[in-house]
Amino acid sequence: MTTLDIDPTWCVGTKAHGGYLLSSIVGPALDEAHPHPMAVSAHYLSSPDAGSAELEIERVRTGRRVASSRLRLAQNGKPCVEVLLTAGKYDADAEPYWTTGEAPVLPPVEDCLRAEARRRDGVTVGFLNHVDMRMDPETVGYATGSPHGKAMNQAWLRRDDGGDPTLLDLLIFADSLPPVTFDLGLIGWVPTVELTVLVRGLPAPGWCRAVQRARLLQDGWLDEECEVWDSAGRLVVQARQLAGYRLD
Amino acid sequence: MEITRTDVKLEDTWAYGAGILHGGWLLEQLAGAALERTAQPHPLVVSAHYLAVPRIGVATLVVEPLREGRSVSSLRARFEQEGKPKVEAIVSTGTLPPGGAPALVRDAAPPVLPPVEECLENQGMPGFRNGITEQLEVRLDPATAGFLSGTPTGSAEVRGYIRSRDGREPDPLLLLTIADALPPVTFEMGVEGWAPTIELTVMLRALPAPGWLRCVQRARLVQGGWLDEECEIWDSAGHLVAQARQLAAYKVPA
Repeated sequence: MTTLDIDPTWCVGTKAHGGYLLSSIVGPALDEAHPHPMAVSAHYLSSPDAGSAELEIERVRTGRRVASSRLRLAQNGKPCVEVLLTAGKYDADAEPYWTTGEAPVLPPVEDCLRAEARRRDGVTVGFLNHVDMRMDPETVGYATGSPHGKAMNQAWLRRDDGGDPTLLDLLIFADSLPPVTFDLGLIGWVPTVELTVLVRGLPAPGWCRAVQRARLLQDGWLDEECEVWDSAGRLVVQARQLAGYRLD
Repeated sequence: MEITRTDVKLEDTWAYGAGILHGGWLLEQLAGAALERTAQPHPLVVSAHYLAVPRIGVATLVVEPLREGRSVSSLRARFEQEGKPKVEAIVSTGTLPPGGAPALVRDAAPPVLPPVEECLENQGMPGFRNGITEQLEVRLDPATAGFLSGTPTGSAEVRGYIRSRDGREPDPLLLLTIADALPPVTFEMGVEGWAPTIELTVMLRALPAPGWLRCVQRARLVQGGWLDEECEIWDSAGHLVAQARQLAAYKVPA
């Protein structure tokens, strides 16, 4: 058991950001032979506060190509995030054998709107101090009361320090776009029940592009699919979550 | 909360070839065992990592309840043999709505398939036992089933109808088995060999109606020995009832 100190500067209000938690949980479970997270499945049971939390890492299998671990974050003995991780080593030179789809088309970075950490309702979205996220203006109509209503949004993403993206940054980016429910004019909290991130390759330096969509919002549950593409136009993350929403 | 350990016999009913148990069926067993330890009636979302293929024979089914909530309860479940974990899952459970429940967004349509009788039955390869197609009737759209006659179309999509041969109507647990029951898209791409699942997550979205299920499976990126396969399951009433995605391995063609 190790201690994870949840950094308050990453919190949304008083609660830790889900992507930041995932990245913090997965990082210590990687090793030299299996440095790259490939598939990360997380179920969010309760939301920890900033401060000390208990991280349990149990390697359950070490194979030739991949290693799998069972990870658990708890706070004051209460389970918060339960994770399964399979990690391995990606070949930096791997070329797509077959691919469909293309990187999202966005206006130039300078024409996009930086998501501010200080929200108008006074809540601090702390992770936006660490992640420089430039939203496609067309998909942020909700901020001015005219959501575009397509249950999608897209943005440019990079580290706020300007550094090149790491694989652990990709886990953060995978959960960085605002909920697609905002795009429908629903501004309430959208708690993640489960988030699976497939990291598909090593990201090229520079800005990433992310696009998020939902297929079905029904009976209080929605799926959110987030794809992250690197500056070279390669798909580097496929993430999907099941989350809850409320109409009021 | 108390961890339970139960010995179960894994029969070869759902095995391929020389005893390779089907990943979807294993997931159904884990989720079914988890459901017995919670007051929630249905699986909502199930994530599994496949570490090693369990042998036919006795395995220990381990279930650990994590949190019992009002709308969602979560548990861990796994199969162990000789003290080693083989398949690890996290199961979040709750109550599924009926198909066609009020929706804010439905940005999807069921796959368009020829009538069932014009679809081709996946009977597996000669000389190679396939427990899946013995238990499930899998009828593939001829447009995506070229591999059955040795002429794969090169498409990264496979679609078809599926139902249980024993008359069992679809239920949320059966959907977990079916989420991994179409042949790998690599067959239709002309990539030879098995495509073992590394990770599989299934989100259940509604209670399925009786009758044939329509399933479509697609890959988005096949690269460096790894591919994603997305499987959507639609019920006979035309409602999306499950969304699954897996990361699988394949052998890079020389």
